[in-house]
Amino acid sequence: MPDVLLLLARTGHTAFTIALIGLWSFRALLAPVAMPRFATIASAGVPVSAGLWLSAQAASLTESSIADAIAAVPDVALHTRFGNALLAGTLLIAVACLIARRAGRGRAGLAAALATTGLLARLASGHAAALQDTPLLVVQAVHVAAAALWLGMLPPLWAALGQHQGDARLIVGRFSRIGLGAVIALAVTGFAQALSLIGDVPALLGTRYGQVTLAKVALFIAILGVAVWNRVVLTPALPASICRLRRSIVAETFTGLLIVAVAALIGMLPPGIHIQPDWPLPFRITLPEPEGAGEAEGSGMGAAIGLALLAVTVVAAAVLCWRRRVRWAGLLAIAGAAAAAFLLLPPIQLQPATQASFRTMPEGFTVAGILRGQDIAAAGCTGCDAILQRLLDPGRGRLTDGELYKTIRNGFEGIVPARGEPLPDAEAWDLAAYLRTRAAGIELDRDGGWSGRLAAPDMPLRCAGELRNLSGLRGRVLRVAAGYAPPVEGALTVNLDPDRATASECAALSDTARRAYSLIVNASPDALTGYWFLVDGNGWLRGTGRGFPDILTEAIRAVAVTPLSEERAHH
Amino acid sequence: MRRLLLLFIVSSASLATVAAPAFAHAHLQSATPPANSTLRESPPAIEVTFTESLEPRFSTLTLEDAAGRPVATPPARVAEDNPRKLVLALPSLGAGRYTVIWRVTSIDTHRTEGRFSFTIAGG
Repeated sequence: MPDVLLLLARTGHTAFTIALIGLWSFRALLAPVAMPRFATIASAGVPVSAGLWLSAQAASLTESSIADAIAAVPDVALHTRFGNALLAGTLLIAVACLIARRAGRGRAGLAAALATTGLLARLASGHAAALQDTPLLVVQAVHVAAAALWLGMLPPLWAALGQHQGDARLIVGRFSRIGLGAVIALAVTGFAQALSLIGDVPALLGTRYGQVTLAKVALFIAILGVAVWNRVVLTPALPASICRLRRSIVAETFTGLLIVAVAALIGMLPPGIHIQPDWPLPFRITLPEPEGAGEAEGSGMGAAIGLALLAVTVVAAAVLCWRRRVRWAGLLAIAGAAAAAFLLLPPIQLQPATQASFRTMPEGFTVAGILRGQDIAAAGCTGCDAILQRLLDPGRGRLTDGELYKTIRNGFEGIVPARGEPLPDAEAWDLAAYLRTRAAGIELDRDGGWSGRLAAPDMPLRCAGELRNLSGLRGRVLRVAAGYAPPVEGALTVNLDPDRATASECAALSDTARRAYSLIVNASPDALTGYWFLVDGNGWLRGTGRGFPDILTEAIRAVAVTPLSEERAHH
Repeated sequence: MRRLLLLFIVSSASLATVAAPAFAHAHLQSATPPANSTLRESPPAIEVTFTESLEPRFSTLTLEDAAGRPVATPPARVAEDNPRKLVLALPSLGAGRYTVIWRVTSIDTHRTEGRFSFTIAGG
């Protein structure tokens, strides 16, 4: 129940604020319009919804009922970022209400600016602020301000068309220019936010955050359709079409209100980038297995250009439509879609997928997980040989970690599970880590290299007296070594032997690290002395060998400038 | 107009019904000592880094021994140099398995909780 109240309060506070911003902006930029009851309701709605929001949020944070949470409201209001931002924003809007009590374009403009600042203050307790992502914060500010301007101006536009019928064409023309700018800003900033907070297609289709975002995009397309209809069909027919145009604006306003509600829901959900996605389709689209990782990067770039082209085409077509160049818009849409399809389609192929396809190891790929998996395999694993053979057959397409987990637990693609009874979740992931490592070792022996990417198993380290994780050293090239390992230029040495590190370097905390890394090269732990592993700045294993070859420094330099791209990592 | 209003109310209600199960997702990014690691000696502190900045008032980190008894520690605090990191100073711990329990609220008001274990081998 507190979550439903939270959604209502968030929606209400945003909608009332947007209504005030729109009314005052309309008066400042377009025409005087009288909406006294509307203004009174919205002005009263802001503090009421803020109080409800604080109470519901306090109930959510203290996990108590609304009634029991009242005592916690002052604490939440005064000692959390959310409370401070909401209070500051509401206060600014209250000041704006006082300023706007007297008529005048200047006063209306100032009130609109203050209320917009009040609305944006809430971003201080949003996803972007929590992620400490300043560019994303700017993008969100533009998005929210554009939405407030466009959606907020719809009710006063409806009222103005009733009050100034003679100037209808002039008012609608001015509003259209502002609306067009807002729509472009919303599309661009919406896309940028999706890239940052959703990140990829699995999160878009397989997380609640992504799915609700898709619903918001659908509503945006719907409201855009209504806006284009108003612009292309109803506006040229003014003043005869004024009643139909006003009805259409009402529909647009309610759709806008629904978008505000969906946006409020999105604000309550953890971003898709932090969630393990449940892939909803029985297949997934993959790039052909590349000879080297560099080719996969190139194909990804083609797809990115294709998607960008598609986005630009959609925006350009919308602009042409808006300017009543419908035929040109149609031609552009067809040409853009064809070009984007050419860039997007050639390299893709379909591969069977499961709900778990895009899940990643909950604790990451770690030495501890690999060794626990080894123990599980040793305790009995009737399906392990078949699963290992599947991993060693990249011709059938590389299994993702999630598919490997699914195969181990329940069987997949006709391969039986590891045991008759499904393994518990944690054990299945551990066995996945072990089998992935074991397959890499066998593949290295057989082919002299790995067919796919392999992360350096994470482990606790002691670096110059401080406890660190290997994954905490991202950004630097590492030379993970066993036994004697003098410093090498361009890389930080991480010794697998706890007592080997020099004062300025790192060493594993436990000698179990040697056991896990020996699996990667298919050697016994004792025979690992003299081996080294190069790890790039994003944590990928890029090469291994023994001794001190002349090319080591050169290889380190090459790895430093060409790290493989980061992959989706869950937390 | 009434139809539109009804449509909006129905749509809003459907939103409200999907809002409930939105929480309780792990946001832990990294931990020292790492989950399920084995240490030779007692670490001076437990440091857990999350994906988002934390609300100090609503974020806790506690430690239990193998029998589930709480280990007496000063309250966890948010690191001064990193608003995403919770630090729990530790007394000297004996050999055994320990469980770290975290319940945190990020500044965007998302609550998350979870636990992980580590072992001190001793000797």
